[in-house]
Amino acid sequence: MADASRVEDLRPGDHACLTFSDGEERLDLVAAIVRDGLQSGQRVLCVTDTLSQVALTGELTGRGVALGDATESGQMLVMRTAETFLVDGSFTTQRVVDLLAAQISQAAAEGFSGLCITSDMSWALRPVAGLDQLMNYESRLTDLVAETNATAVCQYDRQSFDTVTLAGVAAHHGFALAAATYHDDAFLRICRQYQPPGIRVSGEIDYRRAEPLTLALTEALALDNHLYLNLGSLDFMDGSIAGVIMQAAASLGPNQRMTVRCQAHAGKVFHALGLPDQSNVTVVVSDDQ
Amino acid sequence: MTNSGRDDHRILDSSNASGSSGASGSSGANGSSGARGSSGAAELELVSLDFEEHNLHGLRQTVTAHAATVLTDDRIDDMALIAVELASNAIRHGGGRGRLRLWTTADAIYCQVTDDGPGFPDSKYPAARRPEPSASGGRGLWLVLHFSDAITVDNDVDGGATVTAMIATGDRTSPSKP
Repeated sequence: MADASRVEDLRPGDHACLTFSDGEERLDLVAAIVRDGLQSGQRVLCVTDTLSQVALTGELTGRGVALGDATESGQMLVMRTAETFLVDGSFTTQRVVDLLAAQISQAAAEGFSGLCITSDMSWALRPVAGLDQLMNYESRLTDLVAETNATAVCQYDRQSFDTVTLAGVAAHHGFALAAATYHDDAFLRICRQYQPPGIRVSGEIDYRRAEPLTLALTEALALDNHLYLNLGSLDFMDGSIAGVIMQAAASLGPNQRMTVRCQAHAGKVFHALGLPDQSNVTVVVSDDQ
Repeated sequence: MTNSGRDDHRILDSSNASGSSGASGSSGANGSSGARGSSGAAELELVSLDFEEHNLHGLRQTVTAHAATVLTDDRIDDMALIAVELASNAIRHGGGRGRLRLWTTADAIYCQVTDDGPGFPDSKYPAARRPEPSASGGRGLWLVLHFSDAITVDNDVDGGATVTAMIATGDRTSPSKP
C-alpha cells in the first residue's frame, strides 16, 4: 500500500482499495470520487454504513460536490449496508455480486457511461455471518468490474481493521488509493485534501515538522488556485508553524486564494500575527471536526 | 526568586502588545512586581522540570493541566503556547535544554524558563515588533510577548538566560471568588 495512487488516476475497470485514517479524510476522498464520477457521465453508487443517506449527502455537498440535479435524475444513488452487503443481517458473496452486476447493467441501460461504486466497508468490522467470504468477494469484484468496465472503490479504515485483514484485502484489489501523505505518526498527520483541494493537518505540530508542511504547501500552491488549509483537527501549533503558513500566504500569486480553517486558539494566533489582514486570505474558526 | 547572581534584568510590561489577551486592566503587573512576582505575596510552586527537545509534548500537557486550575480556557492555551515557545527557544538557541518553573501568586501565574545558552544581547527581549508576513522567523518570542501580561529577562553572570512570563488571573483570594 506504500505506493498509493491518487483519485484522478482511477479508470473504468479499476477495483481500488481506499484506506483512510479518519472520517474526515474518508469523506474528502469519497467526495473527489463522486465528483469525478458524476463529471465523467457515470452513475455513482455510494454504499453508506455508519452515516445515514441524508448525512452522507450533506457531507458531500458541504465539500462542494453539487448533488441536487444528480440525485433528482438518478445519476447519484446512495444505498445502505442493510440493502446491499447485509440483507437479512448476513453476508454472502453471490448475492452482493449479483446485485452489483444488476446495477451495472441498469446504469448502461439508462444511458450512463458506466457505474462507479464506492462502498464503506466498516460493516466488516462487526461480527456478521458470512464475513469469511470477504476475500472471495473482493476477488470476484475485481473480475466483475474488469469485465464490465465499471469502477469499484472499497473504503477500509486503516486504524480499525487489523493488519492481516488489510493486507489480505489489499492483495485482492488491483489499485491502492490513499491521500498523499507528507507526514504521519502518532502525533501528526499532514496529507493532501482532495475536495475541497488543499492540505489537511491534524494532531499537533511544532518547528520540528516545518519541513513536511512547507513541502505540502508548496506542492498545493503549484496545483491549486484556491488552497484550502484544513487545520480543524489540529490541536496545537507553535509560532514557527504559524510562520510557515504566513509565508505561504505571503507568496500567493495575484490569482490565488487561501482559506484557513482552524480551531479557536490557532485563530487567535493568526489574528495576532496579521494573517487575516493579508489580501486573498480568509481565516475561518470552527471547533468542530 | 532573588536577584543575586544576575547582572541585569529588565521588566517589559507587554500590555500594549497584547491587544486581544483580555486580562489587561486587571492590574496584574503592578510596577514593583513585574513578571518576577517578587512582591512577597504567597507563592505556590506548581511545576519545576528539566526539559530537552523530546520532552516538549509532555511539557505542554503539564503546563496546560496546571494552568487550567487558575486560568480560563482561552488563556490556558495562551500559557501553553508561552511555555512551548520559551522552552523551544532554550532548546534551539540556549544550549539544547533548560528548566521550566510554573508558580502562582494571589493574582497571577508565572512561567519561567532558564537555559545555559549565550543569553539575550544586552538583556533585551528580542521581539518587540511584530514580524512581517514574509519574515522567516521571530514569531515565537513575539507571541510570548503578545500573549503574556508582563515579561522579565535576566542574563546570568555565569552565562545563560532566564525569561519569566506572567499572566494575570485577577485576585483569586477575594471572597467573591472562592
